[in-house]
This record gives sequence, structure tokens and C-alpha cells, in this order.
Amino acid sequence: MSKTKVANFSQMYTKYLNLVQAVRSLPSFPQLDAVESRMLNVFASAWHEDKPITVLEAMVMLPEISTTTAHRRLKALRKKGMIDLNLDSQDNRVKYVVPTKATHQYFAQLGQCMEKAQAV
Amino acid sequence: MQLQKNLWVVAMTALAYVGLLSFNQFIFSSLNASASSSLVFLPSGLRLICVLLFVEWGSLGMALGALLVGLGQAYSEDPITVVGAAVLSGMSPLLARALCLRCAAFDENLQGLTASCLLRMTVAFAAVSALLHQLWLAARGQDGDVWGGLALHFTGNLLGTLVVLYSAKLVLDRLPQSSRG
Repeated sequence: MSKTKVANFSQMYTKYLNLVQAVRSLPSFPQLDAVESRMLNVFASAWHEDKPITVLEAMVMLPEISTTTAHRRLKALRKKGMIDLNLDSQDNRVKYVVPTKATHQYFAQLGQCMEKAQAV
Repeated sequence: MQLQKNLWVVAMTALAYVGLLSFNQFIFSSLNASASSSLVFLPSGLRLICVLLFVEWGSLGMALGALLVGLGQAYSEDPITVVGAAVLSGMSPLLARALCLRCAAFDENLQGLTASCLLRMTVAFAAVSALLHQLWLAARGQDGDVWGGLALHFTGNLLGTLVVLYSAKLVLDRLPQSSRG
């Protein structure tokens, strides 16, 4: 195979790889800011232990932010489909913060990223 | 030999364009807004990908595909309009690529092409394509409502490209790690 031909194929393959990389990194989850992401991480530990989280508990789980901020971020997370609120079967005044399908996908993707980073 | 390879690229991209356009018409026929615009125009995504990978040969293939389809459809009574629209079909993604290259977002080998850059290019391409097509159709007296047609063309191109890109992402995400590019 001539040098020009090899160079052409190499250039084409480089383009293909770069395009695939860009397509793969297209955003598929709602953008979370640092506080929302931190809140989700804290909730995830509790969910992992099957511990229910009430909205009131969720609002004080991050001591570094005010309850007003926490409440605002809970509303934002709900709007983005990253959490849902379930009513208590005994007491309608109590609401639990629960993960959604998108939350599970989000953590699965983070897990895959960690796996990929470990492989490198 | 190089010319033969490039002609092969032109033929394949033209064929893929015709195939995807037929598929698009089959799937979205109920959403068709006018003879020339579809609310979700899947071949737009193919046009962008082909031009990014094969540049002018991809553009030529897209123009040839559009010409083949156009001659058999809407404006067959006006071959000049068909030829012009086909040339614009191939040229608009090339123009969007040139615009993004000018902004130094990525180089000729797509080095530095990020997801946000790809999305910006998608919007630029949809706008350039819609504008050029609508101007051409207006100049040929084919479409009365220029602004309505412009909005439809832009929406169709944008949604079609996004559907193709996200379908590609879905497939790539489901591929086993070892076979990913």
C-alpha cells in the first residue's frame, strides 16, 4: 500500500474516532450543578442502605447549605426528573425523597466512568 | 485509485441519502408540513455526518442523492429548482463546517470536536440549510410563505440531525467496550 493511501486511511480513521468520541459525549442527562450532584450523592448512600429520606431530613443532610437552598435544589432535582417524592402511607404530611429511573441511570453511568478510568 | 475511492464514497453517500429520505417519508409522512419540509428531516443528520467525514465528496454525494430524489418528486416540472436545491443540500453542511473551522473550534481531522461543538454545528447547519433553501425557493417562486417555510426547514433539519446523532449515541453506548471507536 502506498504512503499516500496509508495517510488517507489514517486521516479518515482519525476523523471517524473524533466524531464517535464527540457523539458519545453528547449530553444525555440534565445538567446538575455541584450542589445538586452533592445532594444526590448523599441521598444515594442512604438509598443504598434502604433508609427512607423524608423531605425534612433531606433539607438538613448537607450542613454546609441553608435549608432554603436545599429546598430550592430539591425542587430543581425533581423538575429535572432526578428525584421523586412519595407520600407516606400512614401520614400524608410526610413525603419521602426517592430515586427515579434517571437517577439509577445517572449512577450507572458514573460507575461506568469509574470503571473506564480504572482501566486506563 | 484515489478517484475511484472517492467516487465510491459519492455513490454510497447518495444511496444512503435516498434510502434515509425514503425511510423518513415512510415514518413521518403524517407529520409532513409541506412538500419540501418535514418536521423531522432525518437525512439532515446524515448530511452533517457525511460532510464531517468525507468533506467535499460527502457533499457531492448528498447533492447527487438530493438530485435523484428531487427529479422524481416535488419540482420535477422545474429542473433548475431541483438542481439548485440539490446543490444547496450538499453545500449547506459544508458551509456550516467551514464556519465552525473558521471559529477554530476543531481542525480538519475533527481534532478538538466536542459534544457542545457538535451541537453548535448542528444549529449552524440547520440555520444555513434552511436559509439557503428558502431563499432559493423564494427566488424561484416556489414557496409563498418564506418565514413559515424557514421555520419549518430549520425545525426539520435541527430535529432530524438531533435524532440521528442521539440514535448513533444510543447505539455506541450499547456497544461492548472492546468494539467501541
